[in-house]
Amino acid sequence: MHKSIYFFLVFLIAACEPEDWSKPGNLVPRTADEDASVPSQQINGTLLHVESYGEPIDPLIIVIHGGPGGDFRSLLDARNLADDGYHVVFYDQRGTGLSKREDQSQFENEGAVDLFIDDLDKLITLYRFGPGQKVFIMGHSWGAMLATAYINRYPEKITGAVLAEPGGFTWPQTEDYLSRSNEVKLFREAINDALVPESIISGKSQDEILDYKASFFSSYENAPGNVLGNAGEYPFWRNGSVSAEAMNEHAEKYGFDFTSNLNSYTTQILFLYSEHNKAYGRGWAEQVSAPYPNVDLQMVENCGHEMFYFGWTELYPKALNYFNQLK
Amino acid sequence: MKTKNFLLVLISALVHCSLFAQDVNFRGLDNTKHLIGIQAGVDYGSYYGVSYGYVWRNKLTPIVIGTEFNVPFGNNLVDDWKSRTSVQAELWNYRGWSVSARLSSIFRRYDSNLATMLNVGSDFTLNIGYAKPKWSLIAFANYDKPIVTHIENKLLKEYYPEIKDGWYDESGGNYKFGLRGQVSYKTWNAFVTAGKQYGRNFENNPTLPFFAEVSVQKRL
Repeated sequence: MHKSIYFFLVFLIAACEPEDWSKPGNLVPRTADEDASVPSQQINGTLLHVESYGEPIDPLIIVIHGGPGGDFRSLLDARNLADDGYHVVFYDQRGTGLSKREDQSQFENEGAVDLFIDDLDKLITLYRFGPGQKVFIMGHSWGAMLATAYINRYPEKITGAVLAEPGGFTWPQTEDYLSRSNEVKLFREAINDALVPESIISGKSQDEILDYKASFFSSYENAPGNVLGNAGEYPFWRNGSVSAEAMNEHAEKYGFDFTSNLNSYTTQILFLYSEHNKAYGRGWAEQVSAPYPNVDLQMVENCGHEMFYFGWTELYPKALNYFNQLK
Repeated sequence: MKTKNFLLVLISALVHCSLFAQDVNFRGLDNTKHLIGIQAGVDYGSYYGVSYGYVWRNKLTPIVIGTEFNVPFGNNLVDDWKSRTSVQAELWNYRGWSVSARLSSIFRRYDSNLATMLNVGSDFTLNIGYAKPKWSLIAFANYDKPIVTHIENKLLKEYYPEIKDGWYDESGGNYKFGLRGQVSYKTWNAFVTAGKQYGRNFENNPTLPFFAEVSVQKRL
């Protein structure tokens, strides 16, 4: 009898081993290299999560998500543009979302931003149907900064661009914006919700653990009363914590300036800012967009920084009208 | 393992509901039997709390058994909290110089719209410094180890339905290095603590790398 109880207890303990924080799929979704069902493309030496909508011969729109370290899940309403005669391509940037994780060293080198520009260039080359096909880019936040870095490098390759609240086009400008958008209010519930998990999840470097922990940290910008004017949480697949942290450190170390050649891009761009983002506003939008020679500056009403998710009904006609004019 | 984890949580919860712990100046205890305190500080966010300590006198050295209970500032009063039950004693002293140690069990709860976590952990603190009856200045090193955590995902489960809820094994640990100053007036003590903290691997460190606490204590 005693042996039976002992055997039962041993069996119970053995059968209920605690889960491993770092096991792929336990706490964050598997990435494209771990899950063959994730649509992906080999691009520039990495495996990117890519989804496309519409006919390949239609004018191409590449949608570029924010971060660094975000993903395109909250931008997916933009696939509606496929019904308007556009080939819409979304991709998770190198090392984030459902794209393959990459080593931190890739994001620490001085040429890290060039790597992101090269990824975008290779993606455009892959999806461009032919030399006569028009190519638009539509970027949100960091994605709008990356779009500008691309235009600064290859102005001749882009037919037009929609830029939604890029923090800045130089590092000092971006720092200025971040000091307002990421203002820390120490005695608020939001900061505790973002940071207290670090007292439980601490000092481990496995990617899955860092990505899960980053989910809590990223919630800070969506808490009630947030500066960015977001109405709440928005969906994501995976925070690329390694790329996000390394790219931020990269910017602090090396800085950047995406404006050196923007005066050669004379096509009008559509520059959007949101009504409720207290850190942005028309004044900041005018300042950031100034290096572009030809800017159509418009406010997206009834939403904050995450305007693709919370303000798509307002954003959509503005973007469509812009694309149709250049189509 | 679930059974073991459940027992750990249960025992820890029972203990934490009945005891409180404390900062201690072993030179200034006199005939003190009880230590009652309040504290507020910054450590992974901001918090405030209460503490209690019982001074057990024996032939060797006074031992303080106690606990503290802290909740973060914010709108939701008890969605997150941390309690620590500890045993501490002075190991050595000579002409005011003092070495003491504290061993604690920790029980913490975190709750937000993303997930709820219940964690059982432990920490060890080594204090080295100079203590007189009316004041003390102590340097300390602390290692906090989360041992086992139960996770119930909420919004994260909507975003990723295959996410696994349940018990998770050890999730790292963190070091704290700091200084604590203390002054006394009659039967009252005031402590100021500040320092820096690191992740166990000294690479993945907390977003707020510093911690600080102010506490006031009544000796009875």
